[in-house]
Amino acid sequence: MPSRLTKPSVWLPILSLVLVLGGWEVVGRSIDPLLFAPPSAVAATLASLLATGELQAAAQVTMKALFLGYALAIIAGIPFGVLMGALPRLGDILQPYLYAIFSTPRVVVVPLIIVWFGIGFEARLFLVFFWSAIAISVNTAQGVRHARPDLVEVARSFRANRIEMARHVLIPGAIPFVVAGLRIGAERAIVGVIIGEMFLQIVGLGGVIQKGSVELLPAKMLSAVMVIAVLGTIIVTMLDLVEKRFQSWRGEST
Amino acid sequence: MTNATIRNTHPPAIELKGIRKSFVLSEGRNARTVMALDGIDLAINQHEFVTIIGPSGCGKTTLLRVMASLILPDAGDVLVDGAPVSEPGTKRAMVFQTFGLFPWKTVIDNVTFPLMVRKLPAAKAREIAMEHLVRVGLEKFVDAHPHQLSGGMQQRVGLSRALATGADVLLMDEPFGAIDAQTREFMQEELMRIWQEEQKTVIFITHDLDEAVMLADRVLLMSRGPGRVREIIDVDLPRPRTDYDVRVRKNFTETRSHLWNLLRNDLVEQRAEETT
Repeated sequence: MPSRLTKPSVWLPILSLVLVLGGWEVVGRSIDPLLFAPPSAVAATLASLLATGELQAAAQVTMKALFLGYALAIIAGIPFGVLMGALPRLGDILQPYLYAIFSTPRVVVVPLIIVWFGIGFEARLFLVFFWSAIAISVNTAQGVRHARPDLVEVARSFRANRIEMARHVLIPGAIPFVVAGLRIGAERAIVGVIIGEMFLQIVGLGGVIQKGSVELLPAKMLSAVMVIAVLGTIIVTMLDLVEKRFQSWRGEST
Repeated sequence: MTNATIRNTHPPAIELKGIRKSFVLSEGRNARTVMALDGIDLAINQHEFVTIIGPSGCGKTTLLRVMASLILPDAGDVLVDGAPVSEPGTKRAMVFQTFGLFPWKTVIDNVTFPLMVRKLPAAKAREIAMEHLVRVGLEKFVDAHPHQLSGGMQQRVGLSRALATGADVLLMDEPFGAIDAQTREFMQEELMRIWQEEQKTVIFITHDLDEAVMLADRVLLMSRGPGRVREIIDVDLPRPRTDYDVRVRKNFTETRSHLWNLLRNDLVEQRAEETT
């Protein structure tokens, strides 16, 4: 978890950005332009790709599969995780398989996905959804299982039913785990969509990277990488806000 | 109505008949069965204040949980107002040692929780909760979260929550054990006042001898090992009691030293066993 700085300084990040870009520029200029590109060249390519609308169109394709798949993963993953956590037997039965899938490199199953879903939008959507949902539900289940037994007993003593138990005790207690799951899920979703675009159907930002590679245009590849990085940063920042919203009760000291 | 007539006309608030409960402790390969309650017979009268004391591991917490129907006994019956029970009910409410407040809920939402479970309209639940919070002087903290309150304040919330349910019987598991000594004295007096005003029945676990004698009509001493009732001692001290008045009375010191002598033997044995 990122620790909060007491006085957020703007100068430190700016300084680091200048140093990184400067270093990159120096190194980039000294390397064969077929292999690497300095930030100045990337910026120029980025501008021209934006001018033709190619990058926006690609980003749109990527975001469609990414956000839809991620949203579905959240909608399916959280309730499934709650179920797995609340019913320990179900959790015990499914957990090993989920861990197995979770830790299998996604590229390995690309051929299977082609067989099942073809190479189009559905296949990419599945790639995003499936791995992201597993990360979210495994974490949610873990959070529910870590519910404080004393609070479970409190709710039981006041005759809370299963649904009330889930809503007022298990889920709120699991939220730090769920948010961690959403983070891992987001990372998995981004990797999933890019893999889909590079190895299934050459479209979207992943497609731009692939094309850049084939055309020996490192600046084009790096432009797409930059956009993906920005996209990822936005998602992670949004999750930070979600986390803060849900954890106001924790206070500053803990 | 005198206590004697209440006893004659009402069944006991809580009655235990032949309660047995054992647990299986699994320590690696050698799992062993531990007898926590070994045939407990006990009747707690309406409006009575009973404290339970005993060496650690004597089964007093198990006993309280059996009374709350949070644990089902292996054998025996739990009767509330003469009727057998097998699940938590609205006539009994627990107050917990570590307060048992939901950290993600505000003070008021913690107190309304049991009422909400009972499907009371939100406005009505809030009204009842407010009434009880005002009584313990927490009206300014209704929208605070538990972590913002001191231990004593948190337990006042826990007590308000139990009282707001309207339960006749309060089952209190070392409720003041995690509270500093000075605050504890205030809380004891507050609890006795509420108990007297509202005619509650209180069953109160403690490990503090002074507290056990100070609060109780009867002190129930449990013995170590297989959980049994060793002795039930009537505390003959006038009410209302305040800490200062009671401690200097002869009955107080006599009852206390009597209990201590009984308890001491168990503690000496326990220590001897632990060191061998």
